Amino acid sequence: AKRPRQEKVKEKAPPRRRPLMAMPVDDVYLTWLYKRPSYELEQAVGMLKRFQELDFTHPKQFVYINVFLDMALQKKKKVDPFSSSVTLPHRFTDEVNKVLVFTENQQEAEIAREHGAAIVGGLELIKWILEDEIQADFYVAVPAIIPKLIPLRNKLKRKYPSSRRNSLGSDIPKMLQFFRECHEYTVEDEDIIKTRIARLDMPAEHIIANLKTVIHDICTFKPSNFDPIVRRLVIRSSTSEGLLLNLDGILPQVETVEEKEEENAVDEDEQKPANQESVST
Amino acid sequence: MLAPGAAGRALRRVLGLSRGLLSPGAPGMAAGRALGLSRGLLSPGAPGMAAGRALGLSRGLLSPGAPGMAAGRALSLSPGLGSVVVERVWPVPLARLGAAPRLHPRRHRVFRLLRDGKHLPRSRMELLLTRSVQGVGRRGAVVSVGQRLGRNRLLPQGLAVYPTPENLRIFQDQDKLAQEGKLEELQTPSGQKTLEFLRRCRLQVGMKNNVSWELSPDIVARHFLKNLGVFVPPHALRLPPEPIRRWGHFWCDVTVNGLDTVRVPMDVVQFLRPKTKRFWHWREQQRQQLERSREQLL
Repeated sequence: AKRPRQEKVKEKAPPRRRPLMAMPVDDVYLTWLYKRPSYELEQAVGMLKRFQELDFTHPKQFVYINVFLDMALQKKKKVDPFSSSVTLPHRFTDEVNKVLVFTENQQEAEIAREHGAAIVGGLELIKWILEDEIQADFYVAVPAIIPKLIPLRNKLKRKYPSSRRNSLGSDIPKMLQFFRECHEYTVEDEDIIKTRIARLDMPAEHIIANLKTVIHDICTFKPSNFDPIVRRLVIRSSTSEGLLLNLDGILPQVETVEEKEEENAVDEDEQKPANQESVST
Repeated sequence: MLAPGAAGRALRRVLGLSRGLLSPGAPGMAAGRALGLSRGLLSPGAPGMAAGRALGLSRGLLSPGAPGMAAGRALSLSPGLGSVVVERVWPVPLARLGAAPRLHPRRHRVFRLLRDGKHLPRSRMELLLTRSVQGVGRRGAVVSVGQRLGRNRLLPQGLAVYPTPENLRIFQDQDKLAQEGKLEELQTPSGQKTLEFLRRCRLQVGMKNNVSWELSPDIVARHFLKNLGVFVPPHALRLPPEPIRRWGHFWCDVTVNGLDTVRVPMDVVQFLRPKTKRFWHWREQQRQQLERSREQLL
């Protein structure tokens, strides 16, 4: 063959007389010879539902997403693997998270128990947690008790109450409600987030809304002047294969840039008639 | 046309080496070429050259268009597959008008190789197809094919001709017809590959035992994609006329591009979650252990 070796590696399909394009030409084709297809969000959700019908699988299965992240900042710096909780607009599970409230005040303890805290207590809980007798999904504390909770720092690590994660504050009912219904995700392998976001029998708009909430929350972890943090997005149900998604309508960054451009355009338009008026007068 | 004056400095011989070429040319050339690499040979072809030894071609010109040389090779622009072009190292002094140049027996037999056709890359030839050929092109198309294909298959079998102006004129009208849609549909190369793969493959469809199901084209298409990695739209599938509701061996017909159909054997088996090879190996071992213990007991 007269074609040089390098072209073979660069092309997505093996070199032939007429090089294969990313889109197949025939109606029946071998999928491994073409680029992996990416779908629009609504189309992908529709496909997952159809797969469930065709495969006779459980209708109430969960929908998962795999998000591949681009953690690089400028000059060899990287975003640290983070974990965060987000309230999904449409609940898909009836499980409630176990929340543990640290407070010395009796009234606050009463309020906490009313609003559904699993465990409420003061300093005696510290010993039990250190000995692993008690475990909870989330830990909430009031500012007054923080100096006494320092020994738990190493034990709780990420779950340690802090104002950045909204787990430190005086408004116990609000914090409790947030943490009982929130959905938590972490970054695994420094790059990937794998989470459940919805059930397959929910309407498509609910699934899409949940997905967008999660993605918007992920995008807050990297400053917007760099490349978008989400590199690839794959959606799947618990029994089907993964579908690659188009990132166009999902990332929040594009909207803010467009808004800024629109604002600038609007400002210029406003200034121009003002200038014309001043010149004429 | 052959300038005798140039014989002094740039004298060259074109010696043709025949390799069994069927170049449609003057028979005299074929005879001359068949005699191999003997340098005393006259280059056949041009009438003027039969008498003398002076080939007055200027040095830089390998004019293939010169009718003298290329009379047999018609429109091929290459100087001939096996041509060896040599040049005398020592110039031959000019002779009297009308007389042949006097060659020194040793000095004028020293040659320098200029070009050896057998070491050059094989160039391609342009041909005009008279019939649609798989892997080459449609009828009426001027394609560039390798010389081997053109001379051994297309030209002898009449599948193509040389693209002379007369031939092109004949096929011009055909071109217009083809564009209007009277094309003979050819299978695409990717379609060919798909067909070859489908002829070798076997589809396994896993269906559950706790639901009552009936196989439909959508389900079979989904299994084609999942198990074999072949995308088949449901309209290109044809299933057996009786509805399939139980496990067993069946078939399905896949039509590629609406042209060719392949019958793919289909086994409908019980659905199993995908298991690793390790698991199957362990299962096999368990089964063998059971056999052995059974033999011991009996």
